[in-house]
Amino acid sequence: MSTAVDVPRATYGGLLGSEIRRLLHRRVVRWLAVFAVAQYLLVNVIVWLNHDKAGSGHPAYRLGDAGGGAVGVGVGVAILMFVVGTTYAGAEWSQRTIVALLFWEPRRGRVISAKVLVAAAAAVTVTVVSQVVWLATAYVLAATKGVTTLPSGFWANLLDRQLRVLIFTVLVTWLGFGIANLVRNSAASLGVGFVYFVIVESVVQAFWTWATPYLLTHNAIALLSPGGWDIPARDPSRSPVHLSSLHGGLVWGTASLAILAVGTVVFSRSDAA
Amino acid sequence: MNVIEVRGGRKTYRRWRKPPERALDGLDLTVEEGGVHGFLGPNGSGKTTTIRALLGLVRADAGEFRLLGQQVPQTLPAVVAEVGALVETPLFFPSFSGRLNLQLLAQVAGVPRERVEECLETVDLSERAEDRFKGYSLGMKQRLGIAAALLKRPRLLVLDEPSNGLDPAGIRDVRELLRRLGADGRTTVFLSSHLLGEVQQVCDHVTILARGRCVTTGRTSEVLRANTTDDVRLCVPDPMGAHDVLTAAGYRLSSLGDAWRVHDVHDRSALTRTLADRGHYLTELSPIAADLEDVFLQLTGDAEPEVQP
Repeated sequence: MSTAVDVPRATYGGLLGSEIRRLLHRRVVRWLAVFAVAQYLLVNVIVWLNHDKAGSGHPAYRLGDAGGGAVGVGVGVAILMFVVGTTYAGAEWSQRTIVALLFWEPRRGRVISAKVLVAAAAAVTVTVVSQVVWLATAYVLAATKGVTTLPSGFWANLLDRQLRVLIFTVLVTWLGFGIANLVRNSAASLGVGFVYFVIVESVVQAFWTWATPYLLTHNAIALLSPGGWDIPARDPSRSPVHLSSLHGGLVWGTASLAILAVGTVVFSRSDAA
Repeated sequence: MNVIEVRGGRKTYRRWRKPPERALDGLDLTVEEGGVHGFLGPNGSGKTTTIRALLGLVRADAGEFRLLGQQVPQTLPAVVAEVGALVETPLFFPSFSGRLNLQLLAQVAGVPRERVEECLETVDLSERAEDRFKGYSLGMKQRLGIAAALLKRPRLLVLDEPSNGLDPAGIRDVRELLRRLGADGRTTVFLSSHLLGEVQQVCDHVTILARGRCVTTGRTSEVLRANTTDDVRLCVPDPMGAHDVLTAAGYRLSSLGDAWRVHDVHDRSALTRTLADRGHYLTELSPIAADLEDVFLQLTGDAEPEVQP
């Protein structure tokens, strides 16, 4: 009795495209972008006002120092992307739109993988754009309030730091997404982040010093710093603990991917109702 | 062909610090292709759990669930393109427009954009399509949910309480839409609803659920016939006198407010003779045809107790 009608064909590309549009149309994401741009302008105006080409009263801005600024901008972008990651997953759960999405793509692994890829793509895009904008800003600062001469090895050093920033931002975005996917609420996941960084890390540093090399803050510094990072020893008679950049990357990668994996397994096996 | 088949479906929700809640208790359900199939049951009878299990949203503890001949949830991806669903409240992004919400879903399923406009037109939302979802009335939200369910031109349309929040005109429009879809020779509509009158008007077949089990299923007319009793409605000038006479003669009566309901009257002439012999003359004697509400209440164990005046 059935009449022939074209059956729609779902593709992974369609799912990715839909997820990208979903993220870009979120009002909170747009407001975060506006807030970030405003913060960036404010900081750079302050920097501009506090430098002087002649070096009289204020120091001259040197374009050769742009590498440090690149890391600073990168950390700011990473914090922003942590919030974007949490709201991207958290809003889907609090509005329960992820349940509606399963009527259209019941393969939960595909749904989560598409979201994780889109989150990473957003992190990469925002990081690259912000670094390009920072370079342009640094050049303007140097041209108007300092010197544009570059030391040897500047570009290699800058690229090295930018790559570290890029890896870090992707991992931070996944961490925010993964936590929100587990606790299923944006605000609660931001609370988890706050509790971890403010309370858990302080407690660990005070009472379980053996675990200090695995704290995310120290490993973030190690990942972002060429040559790694020495954790200052509380006891002056003891030598500081050195964390390599690889160690930092592995700890962050393990934390982000483990939380993503646990969230995916829970999502795949539990009732979505 | 059966578009829905459930054999021995069982599901118990286990929640922390709460007693387990058995939603499905050996459910058997068959929905044949074509027409509109009503799915009735009191709150907590397992209707929504059945739908969720069929759509892969919850995992049944036991039993076999099939959609369009395919076992679900294992092979759900193979048939999901031909299944449209609206389960309970429509789930959309509140800050997105109605059109954008549908476009995002259409993109996931590979449905062309023109189809979004057709569906918005079908549910009469074209003019408000650019408004944000959170600004919609309950009825408009429900209509957008129906539009989403129609996007894929589904062979099986699963609607859970689609008339929720709709005004009478909206309910009538949905009823006509369901009739039209059920008659198009391609779509089977599986309609879960509390509006028994709606179901009776629209559905060719009906299944009634109680406590996680199917208590009756079949063509609506047959279900009604099978559950029709020999009860009659009786009016007399002296109701209390007639009541005493009939009770003494062994009849069972209950009040209908302005009349008596006499149960299980196999021989109406004997009833009239009994009354006439004692000087009671009828002003009305009519059979009580069961409607779906009666059948529903009778089968789900929620029938009102007999009332004596």
